[in-house]
Order: sequence, then structure tokens, then C-alpha cells
Amino acid sequence: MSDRRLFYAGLSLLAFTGAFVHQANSQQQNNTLRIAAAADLQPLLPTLLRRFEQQSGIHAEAAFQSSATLTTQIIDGAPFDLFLSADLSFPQRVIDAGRAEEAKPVPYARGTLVLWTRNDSGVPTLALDALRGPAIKTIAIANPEHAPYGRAAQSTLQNLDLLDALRPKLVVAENVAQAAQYADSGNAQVGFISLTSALTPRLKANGHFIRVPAESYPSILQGAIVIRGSAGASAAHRFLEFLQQPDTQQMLAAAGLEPVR
Amino acid sequence: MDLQALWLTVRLAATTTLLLLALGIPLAFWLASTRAPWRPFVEAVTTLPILLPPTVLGFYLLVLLGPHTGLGRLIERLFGHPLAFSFSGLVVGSVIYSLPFAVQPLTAGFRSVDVALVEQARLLGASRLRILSSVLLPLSVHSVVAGAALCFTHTVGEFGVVLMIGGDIPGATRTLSIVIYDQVQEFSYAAANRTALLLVCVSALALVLLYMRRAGDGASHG
Amino acid sequence: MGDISIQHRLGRFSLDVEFSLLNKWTVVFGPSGAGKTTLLRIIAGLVEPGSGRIQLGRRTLFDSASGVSVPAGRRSIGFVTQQPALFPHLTASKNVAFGIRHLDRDRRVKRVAEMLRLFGAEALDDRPAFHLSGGERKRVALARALAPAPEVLLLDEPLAGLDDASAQDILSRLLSLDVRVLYVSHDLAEIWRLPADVVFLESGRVTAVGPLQQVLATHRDQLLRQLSL
Repeated sequence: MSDRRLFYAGLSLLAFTGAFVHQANSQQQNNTLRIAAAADLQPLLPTLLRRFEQQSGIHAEAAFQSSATLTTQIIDGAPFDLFLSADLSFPQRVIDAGRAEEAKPVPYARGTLVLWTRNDSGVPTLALDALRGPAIKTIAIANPEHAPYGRAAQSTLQNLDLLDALRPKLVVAENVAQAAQYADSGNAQVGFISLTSALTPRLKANGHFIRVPAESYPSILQGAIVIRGSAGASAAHRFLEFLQQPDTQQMLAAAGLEPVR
Repeated sequence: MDLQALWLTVRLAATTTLLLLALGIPLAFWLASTRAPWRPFVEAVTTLPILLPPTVLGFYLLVLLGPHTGLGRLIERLFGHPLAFSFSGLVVGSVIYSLPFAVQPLTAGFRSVDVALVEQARLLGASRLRILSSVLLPLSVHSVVAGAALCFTHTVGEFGVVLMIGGDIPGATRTLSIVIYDQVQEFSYAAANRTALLLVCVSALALVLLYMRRAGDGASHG
Repeated sequence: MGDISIQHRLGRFSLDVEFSLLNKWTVVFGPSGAGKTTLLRIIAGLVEPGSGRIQLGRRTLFDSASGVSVPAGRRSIGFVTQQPALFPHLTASKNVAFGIRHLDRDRRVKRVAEMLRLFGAEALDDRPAFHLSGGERKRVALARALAPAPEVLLLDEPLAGLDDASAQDILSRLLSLDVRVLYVSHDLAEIWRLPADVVFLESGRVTAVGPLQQVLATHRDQLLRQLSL
């Protein structure tokens, strides 16, 4: 290739790249609501977002991560408009860092912890006091240090005086979705997972669950905040209102997240 | 400082490296010397782990080695426990994950040995095993050391596979990279910094030893 | 003593030769590109020919008709190539000892010393191969090839690149050996005085066979013209 042709080829490649970057940027700014969402919302949020778009005409997109990861990203300036956490402590950190509009996280739902097992896992009776028995060798929980459902599972075991006895059986997943994966793939016999995961078609078909008694763990109140100074702040407020609507709360309940009130 | 995690990481990396040499040397020898028509396919398969995201590789291992496959059941019968959430499971994952880092330099090393030397060894009655041990290996020491150092450091820094199949069990599967991740997730940045520094030091030390060796060899071989 | 019949194709080049080894020394002579090196590599067992038969004494080394192919290491053939391929990480002695591992230690050491002495290389014994000069390498390579006492020694341009004195010295040492030699060369001056038969190879075909001076005398003028180009 001659020098001149190489030069033109390089120039057009540059122009092409520029067009892509421009398009990507404008799509981002184009009235899209960007939501940082906790991993337990993955099974249900996409449906809600479609419904919200029908009602308001606002297009919304969500990134799913553990609440801790999202908190770090937001504090470090990730361009989100709204943070839907799986608890209240992580949004509080964002507030403390001065990145939130609210002074307090807005609770939008209450999570439910369940004990789930595959139908073919060889667990005779699924019950909390059966965890001690020799039939159960591995129990998956989310990391109690930074995953709200893991924290709930740990305090349940503590309150029932099971924690020390069961510690050798515990395998710790990075987040509650991965705990479900451990149990669903059969590598762990039972798993403490979110009701939202247990109600997905796949897990419903593969296994069964019991609800962990609500009084055995501090309630998993899920809080939201609007990110200060974000371009989509008004859209974010509208989505928060949408979340509080009775019919939306009904949908959340059907998917495994109970109303706050 | 999590010394248990450091010791576990070093043990995992050393075990993986030794296994990879034991596996990679015969495999690379075969790749470098065969004219079989399926050689390119075997070579491609051994290179694939570079392409797969580690978490995806880990997920496949979780499913493949889990109790719902024949392989998983066989392993459970042999080891007495499933491979996931155990040190042996991490070793299996790391060996697959780092396989290209052993096989690539070894194959390249063997291929760079003058064919005439191998032919002379054959003419003088050497078996394939002797050609490998007395001609190819001594003449590819650099590649063997480079492959070993790459496998070791790659395993020390491995995260995705461990996250997927490890289960974060202290002393068995909680490696340094998982400790760092947990510390970051808990906003303990100072602790994470210290652990990361340790990780970097371990790997840097391995690499420095490798390059010191290379300079020394270069001098003696003229 | 030996019968060789080989048909082999290599891209556009084809080798189709048939000759017998009747004398202690046989020279394969011809211009470069005639197929001399390929012929040696086939006899040594490094290249499998398309078809043919290689008989050495009473042993069949290769026979495409009956599917016989003795591996290179069991043919009892020594092969010294144009570039002597010494193992660079071993000393001269260890190079010579490479092919006689089956001997016990004492006999091995004796044999190595004997072979090095045979080619005037006894002073080189513990020198690393990569420190040797071109002529020294050639001597060690010859000692290494002869150590296992092969029935036939294949020499591919063994004197190329050597100064006259070393070439003469090595040649006279070779002539005093009691081993059958198949000697490839394209240099008429180098082989002219050898007490040998010649196989004259041109473009993969044998064009003349017989006692060296006799065969080459008829070709001499033509050869001198060709080879001086």
C-alpha cells in the first residue's frame, strides 16, 4: 500500500471511530434513565422498565451488580441517575459521600430470604433444623460482609444457634445471584437465596424452597437514591414515584419483593 | 495481613505450575514434532482458554464438574467430594486456565531447536523420550523457565475462575486475589492496598528471578 | 555388499536411482541440486522414499513392497552432515558418547577416547561443543558418528569449508578406517584421487557407474566446464 493510501485509510478509520463515539455519547444523553440496580432485581426489573416506558415515554436501562460494587462505582463518579440498592446501608454510603439528592434512602421494597434446593439434590426434608443433619454437606450463602442477603442468612443461622456448627458446610458466593447459581448447578445442595431468584421459571422448575421466618433476620429493606447532579434526575424521581404505585408494588410482590408498608 | 491466603495462593500456583509442566512438556513435544492432520485442532483447543473470559470458564467448570454430569459424578467418586469449593477444584480450574501459558512457550522452544540435532539424536539411536530429555529440554531451558514463571504468576493473579468455583473458604479456596476483592467490596481500601502490594511483590519476585536466570544463562552460553 | 533402489518425488523434483555398493568407498558425484543429499537422507532413514528397496549386506533396511522400514537409529549407519550438528550443550566427549549409552562406563570412556584420537581431537574432550572451531566440530562429528561402529558411514561434503591442511589430514584419517563409506561431493578435485567407485548423479538420475577415474575420465572435460561455472 502506498503512503498516501495508508494515510487516507487511517483518516477514514479515525472518522469512523469518531462517529461511533459520538453516537454512543448521544445515545447516553438522549433522555435515557440509567439505573444502577442490585443483583436481586435482575429477574424482575426489565419487565418494570418496559411498563415504565409505556407509561412515561422514558427509556430506562439498568446495570446489575452487587450493591457494594455499584456503591463504589457511584462514589467514583459513574454516570448513573438512580441507585436501587438491596439494602439501606449502601445508599447511605453514597449519601455520606455527598453524591445523593436525598438525605435518607427511600425504601421501595422488602426482600425475602428463602432456603432453596434442587428437587434431585437428595435432601429429604427442607427445613432449617435439618441443615445440621449429615444428609446436607454444602450450603451456599452470599458473602455476609457485603451482600445484604448474605448478612440476613448469617444472622438467621446465628439466631438459631446454628452458625458455628454449620460453618464447615458453608460456601460463600460473591452475591446472592451467584449463591443461587451454586445451588442450581447442584454444586451446593441447598442455598440461602432471594425469593426473587426462587420465583424465576428456571429455579421454580428445578427445585423448591421454604421461606426463612421473617423474625429470624433483620428485614432486608431495599432503598433507592437519586444521584446528585445527574442529567436524568427528574426521570429518576418519576421512576421512584412509579415504584410506589399500588399496581407496581403488586407486580413486585408477585416477583418476590414485598411492599414496604 | 492474611498469611493463610498468601500461603494458599503460593501453594495453588506451585501445584498448578508443576502439573502444567508435567502435562505441558509431553503435549508441547507432541505438538512440535507431529505431522498428524489434527495437530492444528489440538493446538487451537489448548489455546482457547486465553479467549474465554475467566468467569465464563469458571461457570462452565462449575456446571461440567458439578454433580449433574457423568464427569462430575466420576470425580466425586474418586475424590470423595465434588471439585467445586475445594483446593483440588481450584487446581483443576487453574490448570485449564493457564494451559496456554505453559504449552505456547514450550512448543515455541521445542520448535526453535535445530532439526538437524534431533535427526542426529535419532541416527544415534535415541528414543523419543531421550530426544526430549537430553536434547530438546536442555536446549529450551529458557522456554521451560519462562513457561513456569508465566503459569505461576498467572495463577497467583487468577480471579475469575476462583470466584466462580471457589466458594471463598479460608485455607482452601480464599486466595489473595479474592481477599483483595472482598476488601474492596467492604470498602477496606487500606487493607486491599496492602494485600495487592503483597500480590504484586510475589509476582514481581518470580519475574525478577526469571530474568536474572536468563541474563546468567546468556552470559555462560556466549 | 549393498543394493539401493529408490523412487522418490519431492514437488517437481524426482529421484529415481538404482545402484550397488561394490567397493569399500563409493562416491556419489554430481552438480548441486542433483539429489545427492536427499539420497543420503533416504538411506539414513531420515526421509521415507515413495517406493524402493535398500539392502545392506543381508539386512533389508527399507522395502516398500513388503512394508519394511527400519528406524534411523537401528540401521547401523553413521551420518555426518555438511554442517556438523553437534549438541551445543554437551562437551566433545559427551557428544561422542551420545550413541554408545549401551556400553558400560569403562568401555564407553575408552571408546570415546579412541574415537577422538582417531581424528586427532583428543585434546578437545571436555570442551563445550559451542566453543569449537569449524574443523574441530567436523572431527568431533566424525568421531561421534563412528563411535557406535556403524556398518556404513554417510558423508555429505565432509571437507567443505575446511582449509587444505585439515581437509587432507581428515581425509587420510578417513581412508585408513575399516568402514564402508558413501561419500557425497560435487568437487572433482577433492575426490579425483580416491580409490573408490563412483555413482554419477544428474537431476535425480544415475547417468554412470564404475571405478572413479575410469568413469569420470570420459566426463572430465565436460565436467570441468560445468563445474567451473
